[in-house]
Amino acid sequence: MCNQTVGLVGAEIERHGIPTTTQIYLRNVAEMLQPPRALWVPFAHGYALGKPNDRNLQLSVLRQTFALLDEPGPGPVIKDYVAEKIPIGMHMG
Amino acid sequence: MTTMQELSTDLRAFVNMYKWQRIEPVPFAPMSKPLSEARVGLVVMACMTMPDQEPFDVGQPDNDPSIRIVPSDTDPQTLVNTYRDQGFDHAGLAEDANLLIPLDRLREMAAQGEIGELSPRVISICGHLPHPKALMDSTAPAIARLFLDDDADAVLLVPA
Repeated sequence: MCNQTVGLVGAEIERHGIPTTTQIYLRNVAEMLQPPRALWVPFAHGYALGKPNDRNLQLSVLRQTFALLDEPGPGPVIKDYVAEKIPIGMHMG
Repeated sequence: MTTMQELSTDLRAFVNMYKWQRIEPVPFAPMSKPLSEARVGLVVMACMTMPDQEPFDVGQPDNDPSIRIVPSDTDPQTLVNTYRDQGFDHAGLAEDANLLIPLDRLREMAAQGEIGELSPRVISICGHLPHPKALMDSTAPAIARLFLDDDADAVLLVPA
């Protein structure tokens, strides 16, 4: 259900002039719903950012989600998460 | 990976039978500034509350369309999970709340200059709203107005 809720809330925020972006678990639901911007993530419900305590994976998902904000319209913009090879031991900063 | 085939039989039947909403026309607001300068709002869907907040009333047939406001400097691991349904696996959330409430990750991105800053108020709701009329009529507009009041430049929504 949250696949639908993120889209409905995001659309209302966009109607107020603020761009939004989200992850979504079920691509077919995204295509029916038409959220303004959504990144389909290949993870189970409850794991939107990938894996617990996997900081680099979580950051990767967030960066790809935010990248949708740079996509030209019109919506819906629905893209698939692309797995990145993250070097072992890589840390930000 | 979540595909239709990998959902439980009950959930797959629900997904196939449910009359999903369709957003038409699709609103699409442009970014007004680079993400590195943007104040970013956050909406999370996992029925999480601050320890001193009233739990979501998840016993209602249509669930609970209300919101909880969480300060963005909160440690996500201190939030209380008030959703006990099996709509999703709670084990990951219990181990690392950043999976669904990525406040630590967003603060790191702000510190690195990838985003400008976090909007001060995070919105927590219960995403499981099979009858979304109250959500669309009242809750979502209230959330939008809150982010306008907070001068948010973009909003991230994280499903549960």
